[in-house]
Amino acid sequence: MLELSGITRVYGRARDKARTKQIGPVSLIIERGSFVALLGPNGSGKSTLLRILSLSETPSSGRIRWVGIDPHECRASHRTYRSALGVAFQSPGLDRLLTVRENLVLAGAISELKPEAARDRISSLSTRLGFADRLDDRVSTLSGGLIRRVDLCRAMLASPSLLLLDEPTAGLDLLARDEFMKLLSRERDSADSRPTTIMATHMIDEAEGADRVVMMHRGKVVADGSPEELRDRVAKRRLRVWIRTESDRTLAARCLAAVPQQLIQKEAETTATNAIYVRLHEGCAWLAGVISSLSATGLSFELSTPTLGDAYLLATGESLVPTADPSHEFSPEASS
Amino acid sequence: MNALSALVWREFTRFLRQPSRIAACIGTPAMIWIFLVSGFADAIGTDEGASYSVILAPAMAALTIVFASIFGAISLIEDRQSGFLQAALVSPARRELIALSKVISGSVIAFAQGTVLILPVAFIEPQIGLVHVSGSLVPLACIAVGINGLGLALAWRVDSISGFHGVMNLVLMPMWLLSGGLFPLETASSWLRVIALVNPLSWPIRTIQGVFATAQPSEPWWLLWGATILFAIAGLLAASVTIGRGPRQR
Repeated sequence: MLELSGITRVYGRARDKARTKQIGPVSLIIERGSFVALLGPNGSGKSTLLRILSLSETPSSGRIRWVGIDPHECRASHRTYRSALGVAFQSPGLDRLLTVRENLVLAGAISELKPEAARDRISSLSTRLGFADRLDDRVSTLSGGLIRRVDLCRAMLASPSLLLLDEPTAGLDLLARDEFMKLLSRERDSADSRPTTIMATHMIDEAEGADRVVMMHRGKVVADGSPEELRDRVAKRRLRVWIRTESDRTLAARCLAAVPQQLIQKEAETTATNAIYVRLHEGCAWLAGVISSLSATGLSFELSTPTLGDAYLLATGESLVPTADPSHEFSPEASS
Repeated sequence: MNALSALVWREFTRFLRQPSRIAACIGTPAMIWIFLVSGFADAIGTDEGASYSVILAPAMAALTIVFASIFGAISLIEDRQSGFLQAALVSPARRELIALSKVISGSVIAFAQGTVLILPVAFIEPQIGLVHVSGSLVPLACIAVGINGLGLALAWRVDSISGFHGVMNLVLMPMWLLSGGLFPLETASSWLRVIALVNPLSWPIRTIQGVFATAQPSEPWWLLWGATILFAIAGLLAASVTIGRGPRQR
């Protein structure tokens, strides 16, 4: 179990309070083997938290405990904690002048793996991650997606029990991102004991694959739960009515007259200015009538499930990444 | 392969895959040496009658080492920027080993280049034999360790390569210029002699000058050799302590 209690990190000079920046206090208990996504925009403090967890930064206050070890207690516990770690930072920790194999052999050596064990791990991981045929190529000749895979392999080489990933798909296109996340999931599942994985991301779809999502905003944890729990805080299902003109808005208001006002989401609670959202719950007696009148007016609408982006908006009042969330894009053709 | 040998091996491999680094380290001091000798040969002489090219030899070998060490220190900044250093620092390897690997590899590379530059002196200059050149190798090695350690400790505190150029111009190059290798300290003004006294680089250079008999240092041999070895130890400690503390806090 990983336990963070009251972790804070203050930047800037104490005498210049206006310019100081703080993250935390953050307190979390993370179950062993779970996959936690730290979700938030740039500057929300998720990378700082990961740097603190990787011991690259010292917290201003608070404590980390990993299976009973406090890494800041003494040099021995510091090293014990580091031997449990596998870290992939935003910038891949690879030497571009070396070949893939040379990088991985080096990573094995500094992770204190025996040479034979390292050789076996490199062989099996490179096959599973799909770059066995590029082992003797220099890193500088690889594509961005492949570099990320090699870096994941480097981070997982010593079979870490705590895997920290800081925006591991940064700079990848959608296809490469998707492929990377699938590989990560497969690799976690195939490990002898699933590593506790903490991944910082601002991508909603990446966080959806986690067991637990910790939403961060301006250095603080604002929401925490499984993706489903967080989505359910917005609504189980929603009715979305597309609004293109002011007359659409009038028509929609007429059609939604039967809907209890508290179920219609305020504009500030949604990222879209071109849609009206209605929260749905079990046994909405008025739903059939509303749908039939919307159909009769010709307004575009759809039944949808809220996303983690909506949950983030509900928790913070600020949109995470509006353009990255397709549910917020106007696409009446796709609606029924 | 253990962590230290793996990290040292990496530095050597990187060096060999960057031929421009080799050319720049040896070529620049060789060029400066030729230009200085051509320009000042008749203007500067010593009582011992050694030619200016021999007088300059220790300083030029030191300059080669300074340049090579600068490249070594810059590679630390590159490692930080590329993410390699961050990954290495969170690994279970002792952080002092990371510093040590940089000092060892940087020193060996710098020392080899310094030797390449100073070796021809034994064949070109009749006053200098292979015995003299061999005697200069230990002080040269001390310069390599000392400057590498110092360069790494300074580079640890600098964020960018351009920032390190400032450090290089403000610290490393003046250290070399004021080491007494370019001009005889005995005839220099008193303030320059005081600076040379506190400049750690001037001690190994004066030791080599003593070995070459191009100058007659007024200091006793034990002091020259002691200060030379102390410089190397201080450089090694500076790098180990600085990097051993772990990642810099912002």
